[in-house]
Amino acid sequence: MNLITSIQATVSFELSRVLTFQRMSLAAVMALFPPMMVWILNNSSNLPIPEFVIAVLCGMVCLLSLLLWATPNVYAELEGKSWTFVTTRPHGRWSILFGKFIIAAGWSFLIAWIGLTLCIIQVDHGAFVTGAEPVVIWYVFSILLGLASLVYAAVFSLFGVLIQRRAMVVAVGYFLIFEVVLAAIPANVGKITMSYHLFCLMLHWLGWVIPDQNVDPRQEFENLYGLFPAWIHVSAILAMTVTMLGLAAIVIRSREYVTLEDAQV
Amino acid sequence: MIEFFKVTKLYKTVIGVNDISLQLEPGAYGLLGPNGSGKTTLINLIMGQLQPTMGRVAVFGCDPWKSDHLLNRIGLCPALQASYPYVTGLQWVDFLVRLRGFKKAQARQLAEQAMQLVGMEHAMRRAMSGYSLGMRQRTVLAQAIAHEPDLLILDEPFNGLDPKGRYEMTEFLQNWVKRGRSLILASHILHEVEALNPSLLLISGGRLLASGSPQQVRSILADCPNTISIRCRQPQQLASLVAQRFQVEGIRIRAAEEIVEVETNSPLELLQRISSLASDDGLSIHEVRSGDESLQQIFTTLMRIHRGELRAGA
Repeated sequence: MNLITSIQATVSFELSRVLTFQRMSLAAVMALFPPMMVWILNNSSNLPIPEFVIAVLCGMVCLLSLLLWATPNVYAELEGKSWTFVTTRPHGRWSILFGKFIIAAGWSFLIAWIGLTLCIIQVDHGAFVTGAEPVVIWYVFSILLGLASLVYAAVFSLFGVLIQRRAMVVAVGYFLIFEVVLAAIPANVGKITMSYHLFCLMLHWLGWVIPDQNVDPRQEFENLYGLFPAWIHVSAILAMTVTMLGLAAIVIRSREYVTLEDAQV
Repeated sequence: MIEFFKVTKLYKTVIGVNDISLQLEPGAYGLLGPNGSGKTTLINLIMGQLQPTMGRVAVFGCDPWKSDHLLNRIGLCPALQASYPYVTGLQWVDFLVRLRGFKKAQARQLAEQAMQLVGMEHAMRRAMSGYSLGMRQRTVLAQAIAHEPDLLILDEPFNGLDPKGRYEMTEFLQNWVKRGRSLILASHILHEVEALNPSLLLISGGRLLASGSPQQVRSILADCPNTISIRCRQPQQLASLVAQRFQVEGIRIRAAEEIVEVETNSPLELLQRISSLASDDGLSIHEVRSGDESLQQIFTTLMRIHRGELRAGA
């Protein structure tokens, strides 16, 4: 019970820090980036807009926000000299981890979701490449952004508790190597990445396959992305979130974090 | 209340504290040591922020590293000053009180009371970034006492305080002790600690060099090799008498200032007999001062005793 109260306190305190002019301005710039790009695309040609562009733009914004808010969970406290104050409270370390996780995931989702909504508002009916309904795209991408925010916030939080000074660099490296390069390899190894599961969910929910005249579309989909139903992908993402957070909780509780002042003995 | 059993803490190859054993009953303690002596490490071990590399620490009968619930019985005022650009002092203290598991309304009430107690009621709704050093120090104290802990630990609490602030802080801590609460005050300035008349723990180089009441610590030092400085109207005559009647290592006369500096291995004997010297021989002695009164010198002497370079009472 005390842990929940502590997490609530951390969330409410962090929220009060987030709602400042400086941070709101940064959030506004990030949220406006995808609709700006879509607006440019819309006005530069009469060609339909690939839906995937919106997914990539909003995903990028979500990831960037997570890098900014989830990765420095411990380092920001150490650098701001607030670590000792918070961690000398019962469950202080866990409240930092979970409280900042909730804020990072929630805030990043909100920024990306506003960006997505503004993108969809601009697009007329039938203006997408696949001819999908904008409202369906909005609905599916919103869920995908929510899942991505959760899982990557958990992964980046783990990096934050493991590495302090270079956590953001490591997180970017991880994303490029694992979630971009490894996920693109059409082999079993790619299936361990979260971007594979998110991509599969997008294909499932939007019913997209690459058309090939000689192959049955369903067979082609299975060859490329496996036989897993959507709930398996959702479960994999949620399991990864829980595992990463669990590991982070063990590490943050059992590790000695030495501040600059402590290092001077 | 606190027990250290052969505790050593290493930061990789650097020694934080070295083979410390001590047992502290509830009361007031002054943890004295030069900067970098291991005071903060000792506090972090008590607070369960660090785990001993060797040995065992117990606080209120529990291992602080494993027992989070202990933290609600302790208030820590670290030698750090956190500052958030847009957060008021009250918001910050309120947040830290809520982290202890208090409900929102109760936490706000406790935070306000604590801010009033440290004299911050006029500024508690202002952003912390605009606080002076002294105001931040008071706010840090407020977050430590808001939940009325059994034990209050303060690390260099007088840093940044003006004379009025120092006086008020001393007065507050004196009242804290009078109310029967326990206190550990870490400082590198002797007189700040002495004002509370605590038991002293002298630490240097990560080692506990001496412990006891201020009088006991002074008596240990009184019988150590020392330089005694005596101001006298007849410095030459005094120097001659001292050289005849005491075992001295050296004598220096600063005639212009009418001061005789005596290096001796038996300062206690000299200090005890100096007044009779004055009365018997008609010398006019105005001032007798031990050369080792500064804390750094005390520690240097104690360290030399600890290393076996000197012997107490030699």
